[in-house]
Amino acid sequence: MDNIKDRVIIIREQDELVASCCVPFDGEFVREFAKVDLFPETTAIIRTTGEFYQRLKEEYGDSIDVDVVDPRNQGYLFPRLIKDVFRYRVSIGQGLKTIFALRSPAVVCNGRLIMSGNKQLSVQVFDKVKQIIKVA
Amino acid sequence: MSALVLLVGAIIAFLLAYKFYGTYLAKKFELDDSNPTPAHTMSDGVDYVPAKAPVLLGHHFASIAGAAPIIGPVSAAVFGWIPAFLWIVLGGIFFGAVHDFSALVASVRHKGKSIAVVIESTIGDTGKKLFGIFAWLTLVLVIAAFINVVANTFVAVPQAGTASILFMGVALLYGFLVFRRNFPLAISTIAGVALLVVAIWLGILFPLVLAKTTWIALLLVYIVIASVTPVWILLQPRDYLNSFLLYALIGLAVIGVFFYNPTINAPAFVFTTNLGWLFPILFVTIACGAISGFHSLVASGTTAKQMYKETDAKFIGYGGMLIESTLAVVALITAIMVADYAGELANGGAVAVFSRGVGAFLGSIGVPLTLGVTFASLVVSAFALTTLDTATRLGRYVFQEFFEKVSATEGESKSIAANPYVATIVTVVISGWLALTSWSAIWPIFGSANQLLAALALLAVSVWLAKLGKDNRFVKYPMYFMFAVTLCSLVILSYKNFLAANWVLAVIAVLLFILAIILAVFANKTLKEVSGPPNTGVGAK
Repeated sequence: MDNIKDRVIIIREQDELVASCCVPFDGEFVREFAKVDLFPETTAIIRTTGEFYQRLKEEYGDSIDVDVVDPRNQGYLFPRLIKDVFRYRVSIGQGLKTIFALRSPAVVCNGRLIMSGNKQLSVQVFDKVKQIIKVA
Repeated sequence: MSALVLLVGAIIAFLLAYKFYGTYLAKKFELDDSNPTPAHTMSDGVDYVPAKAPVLLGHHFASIAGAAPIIGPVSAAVFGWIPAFLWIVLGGIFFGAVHDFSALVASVRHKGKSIAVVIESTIGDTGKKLFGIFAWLTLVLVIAAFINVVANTFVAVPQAGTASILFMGVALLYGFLVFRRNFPLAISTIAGVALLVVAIWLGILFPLVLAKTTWIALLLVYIVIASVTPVWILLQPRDYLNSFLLYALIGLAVIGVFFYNPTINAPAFVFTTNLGWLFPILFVTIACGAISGFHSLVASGTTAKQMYKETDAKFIGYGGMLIESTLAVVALITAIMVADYAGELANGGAVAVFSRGVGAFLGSIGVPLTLGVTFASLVVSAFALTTLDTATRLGRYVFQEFFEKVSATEGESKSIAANPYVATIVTVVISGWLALTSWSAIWPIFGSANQLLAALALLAVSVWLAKLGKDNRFVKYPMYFMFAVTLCSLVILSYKNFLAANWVLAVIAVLLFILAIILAVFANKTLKEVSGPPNTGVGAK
């Protein structure tokens, strides 16, 4: 798999809603005009995953792909996860785990689910990513 | 004549427009991938995160699609299929997609800032303040229009009323399991979709038959409660399930229309209707199907901060709007294939017409008619309900913020109007009052507000380009047209509502008209001031 670029997918919600084309209900608009944080829990998760994203970028730069995807973006997310499971030759058990055991927020590295549903990203998650990338 | 010709013709026109006009615009904006986007230069992993084009298109499209691009075209079919079709296609290509594309590029070139900030930097702080007033008025109209839409749908398709109430229960359960018990997404979603099918089935077995005024009263109570409950309880989980429904509806409707091969039964042209004259009312009625001012807020909100490279703006901004216009053409077809369009519209409203059309399409691929109709009604109603409680929530916040600011400026203690409950009640009572008037009176004013916002966004881009000494005709002429449409329609609608003694609507129309005039004066003044500066390049900040 030497020629395949490593990929980390960070799955977390954005502070906006798929409301309708008539209500601009994203975090920035609400912060701008109403001065409130409407999605405090989501914002906290975005910050935590943001730090994780920054750490990945500092460590690997552009040598790996890092995607940040909202779990509601199924048109992209699920085909991507399925593709990665095949692309990185993940075992059947691991692959099923990636697709069916995923909780938001989550981190998937080379088709393997390495963190799921934990709102605090521990150092171990980063170490696991490093391990997988090193092996690949 | 087969309506499929329209869909195929529109798709071909959109593909050609994307290839040629989209590329022309990209050249005009001097899009260059060697210019790093704010997603890279300001990358923080929080707001500014580079996202590749397919990821971002998914986010962007989910934010711009919804109930309005369906309701507008179905309602505008009253003017005949030719003008409605032409405005969706030409409006989409030369107005709507240009608007979304240019708002996205302008925001990217302003460090990913919201179009409201772009407006402030181009036409000053007053513009931004007026924008706040405008935002609240529009939200009130949105609430009134969508309460009417949902109530009409539930009266016409009572199965959807039952299914929608049950769907809320499914969303509550989903929210509890996913957000509080941390259940896996895929399993919860499969269970959620399965329960949704059960909800539709129960809806068909036990339709909830209520009068329209009863539904309006229930919806008003609902939006008060929904707008003060934490977002994770109902709003976020329903939103999650909605996103599945959106893709399912679009996919099934587009496939179904090809199998069904509908025939056009509508007249070609109708110049005078109960909504008003073809010009300007057609252009405000179709609303989001051809151009929507709200898209500029989406484009300049999250999308601009996550754009991976400059040339992606064409795919996401221009392409995203053309996909929405394709959905609008499908919605139009559901209206123009009906033999008794006027009767169906009067009895059930636009969503019922659309749902029956989609039900017929799905029937051609083996889905029972009642199931198809209930499913389509449920999907559009689910979006309308989300729109309702988000608009109420946002209306409350904007109202509170406005009065808090006024109190702070005048050095007074906090105004009672800044209290959240007072702000909610004021927003809901005015909206509820409006909702009791006829839907056909509200929708064109809502459309005018929407198009006014589009004119405003086009104005901001025109001024920005003029300040750089660049050719801005491709945004300036659509901007003039949108101002003309908005001003004319607001004059007509104010007059009509005064005559009909719809005082609140008439006052809102007058306020929007004054706002549009002030902004038009600003536009003219600013464009004159900036004519002829040295060429500093489009990329200059």
